[in-house]
Amino acid sequence: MKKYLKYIAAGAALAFTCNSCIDLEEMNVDPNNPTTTDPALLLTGLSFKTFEESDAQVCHATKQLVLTSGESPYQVYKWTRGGFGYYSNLRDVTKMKEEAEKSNETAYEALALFFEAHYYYMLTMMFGDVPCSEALQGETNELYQPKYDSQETVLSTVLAKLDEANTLLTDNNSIISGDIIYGGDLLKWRRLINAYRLRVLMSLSNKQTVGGIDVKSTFARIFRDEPLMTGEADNGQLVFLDQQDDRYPYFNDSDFGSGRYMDSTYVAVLATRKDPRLFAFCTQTPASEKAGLAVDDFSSYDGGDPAIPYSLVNDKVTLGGCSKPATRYYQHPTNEPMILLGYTEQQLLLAEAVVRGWISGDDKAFYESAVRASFRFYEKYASSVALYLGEDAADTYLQGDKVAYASSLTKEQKIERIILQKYIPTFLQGSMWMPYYDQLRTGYPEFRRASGVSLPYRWMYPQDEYNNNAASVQAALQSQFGGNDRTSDPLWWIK
Amino acid sequence: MICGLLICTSLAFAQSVKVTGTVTDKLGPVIGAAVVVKNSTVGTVTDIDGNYEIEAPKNATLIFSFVGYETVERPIGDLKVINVEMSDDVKLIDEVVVTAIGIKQQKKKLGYTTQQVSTEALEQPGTVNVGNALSGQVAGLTVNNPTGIFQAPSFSLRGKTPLMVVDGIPVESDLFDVSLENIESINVLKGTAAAALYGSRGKDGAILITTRLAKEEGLVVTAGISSMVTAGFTVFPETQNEFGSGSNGQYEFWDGADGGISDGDMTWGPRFEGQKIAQWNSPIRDKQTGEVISWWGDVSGSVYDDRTRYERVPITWEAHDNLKDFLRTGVITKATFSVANKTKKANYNFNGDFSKQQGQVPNTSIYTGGLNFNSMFNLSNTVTLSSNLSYNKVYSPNYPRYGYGPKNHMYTILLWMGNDVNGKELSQHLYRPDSEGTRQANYNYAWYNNPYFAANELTQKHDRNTVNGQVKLNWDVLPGLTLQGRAAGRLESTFEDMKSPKSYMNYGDSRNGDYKTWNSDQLDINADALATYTQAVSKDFAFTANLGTSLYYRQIRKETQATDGLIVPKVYNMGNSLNPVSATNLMNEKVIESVYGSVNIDLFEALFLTFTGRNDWSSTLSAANNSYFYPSVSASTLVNEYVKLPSWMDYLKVNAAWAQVSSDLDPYALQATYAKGILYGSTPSVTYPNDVTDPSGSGTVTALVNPDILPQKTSSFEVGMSTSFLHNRLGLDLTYYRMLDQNSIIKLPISEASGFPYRFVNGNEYTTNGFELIVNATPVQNKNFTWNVSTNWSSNIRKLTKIYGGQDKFGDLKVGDRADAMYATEWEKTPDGQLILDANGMPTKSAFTTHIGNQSPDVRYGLQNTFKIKKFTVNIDMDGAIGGTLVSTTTQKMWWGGKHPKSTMYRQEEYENGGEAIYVPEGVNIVSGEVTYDVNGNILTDTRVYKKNETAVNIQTWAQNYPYRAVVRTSENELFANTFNRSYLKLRRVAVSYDLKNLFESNVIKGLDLTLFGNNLAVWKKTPYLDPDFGASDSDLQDPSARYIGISATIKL
Repeated sequence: MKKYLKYIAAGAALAFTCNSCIDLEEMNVDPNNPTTTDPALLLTGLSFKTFEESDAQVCHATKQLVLTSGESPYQVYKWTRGGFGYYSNLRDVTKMKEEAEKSNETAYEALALFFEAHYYYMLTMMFGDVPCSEALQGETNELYQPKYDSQETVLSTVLAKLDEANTLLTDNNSIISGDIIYGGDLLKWRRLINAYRLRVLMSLSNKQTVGGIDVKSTFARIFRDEPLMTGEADNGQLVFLDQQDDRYPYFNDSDFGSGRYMDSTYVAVLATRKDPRLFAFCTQTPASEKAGLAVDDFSSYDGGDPAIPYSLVNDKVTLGGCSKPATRYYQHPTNEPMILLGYTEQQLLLAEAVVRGWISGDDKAFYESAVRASFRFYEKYASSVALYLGEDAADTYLQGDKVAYASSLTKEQKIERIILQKYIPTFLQGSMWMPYYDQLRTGYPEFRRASGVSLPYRWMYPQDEYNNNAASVQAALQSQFGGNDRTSDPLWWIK
Repeated sequence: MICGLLICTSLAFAQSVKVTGTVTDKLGPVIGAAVVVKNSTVGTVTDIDGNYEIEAPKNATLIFSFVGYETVERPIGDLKVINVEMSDDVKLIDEVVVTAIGIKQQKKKLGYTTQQVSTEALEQPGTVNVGNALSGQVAGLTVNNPTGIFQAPSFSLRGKTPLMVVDGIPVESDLFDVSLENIESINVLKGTAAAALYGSRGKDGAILITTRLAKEEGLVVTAGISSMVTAGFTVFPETQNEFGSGSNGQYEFWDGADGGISDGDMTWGPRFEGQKIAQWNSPIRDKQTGEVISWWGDVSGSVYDDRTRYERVPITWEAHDNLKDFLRTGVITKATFSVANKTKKANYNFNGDFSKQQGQVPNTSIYTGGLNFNSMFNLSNTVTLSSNLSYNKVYSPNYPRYGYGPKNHMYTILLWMGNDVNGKELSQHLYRPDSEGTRQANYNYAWYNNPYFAANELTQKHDRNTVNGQVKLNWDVLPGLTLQGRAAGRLESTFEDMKSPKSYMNYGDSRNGDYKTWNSDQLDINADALATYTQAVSKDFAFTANLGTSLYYRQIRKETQATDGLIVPKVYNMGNSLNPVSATNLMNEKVIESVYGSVNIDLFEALFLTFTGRNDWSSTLSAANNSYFYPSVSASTLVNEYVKLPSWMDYLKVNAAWAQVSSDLDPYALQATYAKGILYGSTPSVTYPNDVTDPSGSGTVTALVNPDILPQKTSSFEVGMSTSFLHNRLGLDLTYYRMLDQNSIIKLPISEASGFPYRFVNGNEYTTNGFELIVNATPVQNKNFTWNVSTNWSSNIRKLTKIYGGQDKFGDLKVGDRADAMYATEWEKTPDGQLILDANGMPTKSAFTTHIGNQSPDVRYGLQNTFKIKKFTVNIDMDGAIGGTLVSTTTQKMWWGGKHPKSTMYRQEEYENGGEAIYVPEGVNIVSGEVTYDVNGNILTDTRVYKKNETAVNIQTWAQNYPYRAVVRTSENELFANTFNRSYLKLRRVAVSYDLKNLFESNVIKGLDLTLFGNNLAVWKKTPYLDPDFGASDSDLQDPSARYIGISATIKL
């Protein structure tokens, strides 16, 4: 009997000792993941996420693609709400800034400012007023319902952040790692940042000032004083690798296998200008292929009419009359780099500035260098049609009808040509909504649509903001549109 | 053999005598009472005066029984007349049940609700998983039964997820590793008070499974075998069979990715008229030489990929019955044995089981098996040692993949494969003739896999070993004082892998072949000590006190590895990876330390009070908040002990209970960490933050953590009554409960502009009201026919009664909404409900969400019948639900893709009309005016003027939008509805058993039962094409719900 007592006593004693010897708090420290990090590790992920971004939906709105498997709300300009997902990307930016401040690494802080500027620019262009001064302070300041800042304030903040980023990087000799865009070359980052400033300022060509910043003179000052991209080697672009997580975003994308065809208006823009980049963008129509037409026969390419009901486009598809995006877009694991802002766009921004009288310079040279850089890009990455995209081809092209740039052209014609050359190489690229905003600003190119349909100026705010930040979003709607939330109301920048 | 048996029988009755008598109770004669000669099949029943007459051997014993009375045994000896007065069987409420932490209690003393599952329901197999067998059996316990092989049932008890407890030890199990045959009893502890002693883990009730020990003295050996097969389908999704692949009535295959005519997707193609069309299995013709080559699949990358020279030869366009052809007969076979022995010193039960299930989907199967050894030794008069050791294995060489995507055969065959595709040829040609091992032969290369290729070439293995050990020492120290110590360990090790062949398509994965492995170990250790003291102070006052402590430790380790493309086809090894292998691992630990105690007081044998208290210290909360206390009090009283009830009322028990429980988090949810991000070349990255476990149970979530989070708290109150009438001919149990969830740990949606979509807070208050009703009755009872019926009804409505910080909304939900309220986007309508159509006749999505219903049914019910017809026992079980809303992804996608049975209308007419639209949708167009809304979607101003729509719409365009892109309720449009009422009634089980022992006499064989049974036999429902019993969502794309029939035999020696 007694021996059992002994065991039970021993067992109970053991249980209690065990209880007291476990440190409960220590046990709850995650052994799997770190709580602090080197900003370089954040920079890598952030750069990939930011520079990888592209959206085939945009190509429906910019009349480059049509959808035949359903109605694309972008194609028919019937979109409603947008999302605030960019704030999630900004979370990593905020952390990079925090981690950089800890170790006083100004270069990362400067890059953080660039990413912030980029995302706030994208957000305000989509919605109008958005949270900015109070945003991203959920973790640090328990600010869960940030108020909205006016679009003008946001845009001037964007410019200020870019300005500060450029300043921080000026004469900055620090060595950064984790830079998958420029391999740690901070001068190249400065060039990109300054080009971005030009992009933002040019989009405000309808405005004289933005929050006290003079649009025209600031543009001129940057052009005069700051380093800008010197060639496509300076492109703000992401090169893809044939490795998990690093592949081209449309690789193996099933959407390319059904219902996604070229837009006839885009094909026409290229074909009427005898633009050989067309061969890099899309396939010949099945009918032309069957008939054995040559690859450089512009008549062997066509697309669907974006303005008719999508099911009717099928009639043309059925006859083998519609081209599809080139197979490299979905069958090549690295395809081409995604350009967030490249040399071509920068040169065209400069050309437009010359035309508008903001700066003095050789607008024709800017224009032609832009087109040549674009040709070199496709010559390099669309290898199967490289022979049509050589330097000679660019020369010929630049002489062509509707392409050739001469001082005899009117200001309006010049702007049309410039915007068109900006527009053409945005096909499935990283420029996101920039060609759409250029259209709203300049009217070029014409976006074909059914009669009575007008282009939306913006997106409605996310339903989540109505649910979780109602007072702030209501105030923003009140001050901008008298309380309505519609896509048809123009925003401050375009007014 | 039969002859031998007869001799046996006649020998046994050699010295029989005639016995007569009357069976009475306090009130008079008992009619229909059974009088049986013990250990024989000889028997009779009493007549209208309670008299009987029977012939029996002199040395025999007579057994008198009647439902509601205690059974009486009387040896015959020299007696000629045996009169018996039967007394009420109070067993029903004196019955002892197992309650929390293994404490046994008489049912009458329980102040809270528990329900024992009829073991009959468990004894008759018909399901592979024990969980399925519980469907409809317990009031308040909802079991969802997914239709696919190896899809585990899910449980919800009073709307929450109960704790599973096997032999007193909480386990986390999908129950595939618990053998049905090894179960002695299942008791469901409903609600908070019942399980309060389990602390946070038992806060939502518990399902207690007790495994077998020997029941009777002596050695008993049993063996059983059962087998069942699928016999048709209870629910089978229909599709249209008139039109094939394509779009706008056109189709021609070239590359299965829109390179031909609409060959990338959709089933809106030409009508089946026996015409000739180029298809995926068309031969190839060389236009120059005229040579014809047999071919299956596309030609990309081959010499034939030249449309100027080669063409596909059109072949007959006809329909195939692909889904029925694809599915095969499912077969489940099961064998069990047990050896049990009971002596004065020891008691043990050793049993084993093995089952094999062959799935309906080709190349799928599951094997489960286990060995269990339960023993109890009386080491001395006061000390017993119990131990339990078990090993179980769950092994599936390949099981089907579900979810919405190309891995799922239903996704392909039901939704996206036109019936023109010849399934037989798909099964015969898995690879393209020139690309064995590298490129599948298929009808489509944009979105889908050849379903036979997917079923046979991709395999997904699951191999789980569970070892479970438990030792319990029980010592009766003094009369009334017992000490118990217990330790248990459970190790579950699982290996899983997936082998994907080259060209297999899964969105997001490499199409270059892939091998992935997952290893996980979960170790659970539970140790506890319990002291119990019982004293009957006087006849009118007795008490029992329990005091215990316990320690719970859980460790989970996981490792995953994956290739990125394969070098050599079909060699599934990490070393064969084309690109760097990726790997991750994870470890987490958790401890809960507890002390607990309870006091039970019995007063006047009529009033029973129980107080319990428990304190937990959890490692998952901060030091300041990691200690929490759970009190509970419950009372029950037997009214019949002090109030004279009418004679037809047997007893009346009234009970009430109140309890408060709290619960913690998952490990590591207090501090945000960085998560591993992409690897760019060899440059690593991180992203912030690592997702943490969502306390509301939806996996992991990106949220702002809260280090000061408090345990969440649930208070519940319940009141119930239990009574029976007419000697248990009719029994009634009624419970009402109310639960208040406070301090709920919620992921509060916040403005995404704050940097996070959610943050964890203690907030929101939910109030649950529910009732449970159980009625048992024996409407008929006589010699040849007895009918027992039991029915249960329950309702559980959980409402959001307060929102954190007094906010107006919690996501879409408002105060007063049910917690399961569903909000969804509808089409824009006029204030009086007419559909608004635009200039093209098309509807427009509303920018606001609407409350479209509640997900869970309002009421659930079950009905169990047992008929005893002579020596046959027939069981008929039904269960079902009333209410609830289901948005059917299946219906939506069938409309979009053109497989919906009703999607055939207007098609041919339109094609023959030169493609001109014919269908004019009902609705209105806006002529003028405008509407404005506030942020909640309420109309502020509305000047719209309407006219009736007269614009015809292309039927394909309409079908691809209206019934697909927004919610359409049946009340809005019956034909195009995609949102349905979840109500159903299911004929769950019919079983007919017969004890063959009735046919012969044997001293060796003690029983030989034969049962024929059917499972999932029929359903009446309001949702088309789906089995609403499947569970919350149909986005898993249900397998057709198979009907099972089977046979089982059990021999007892």
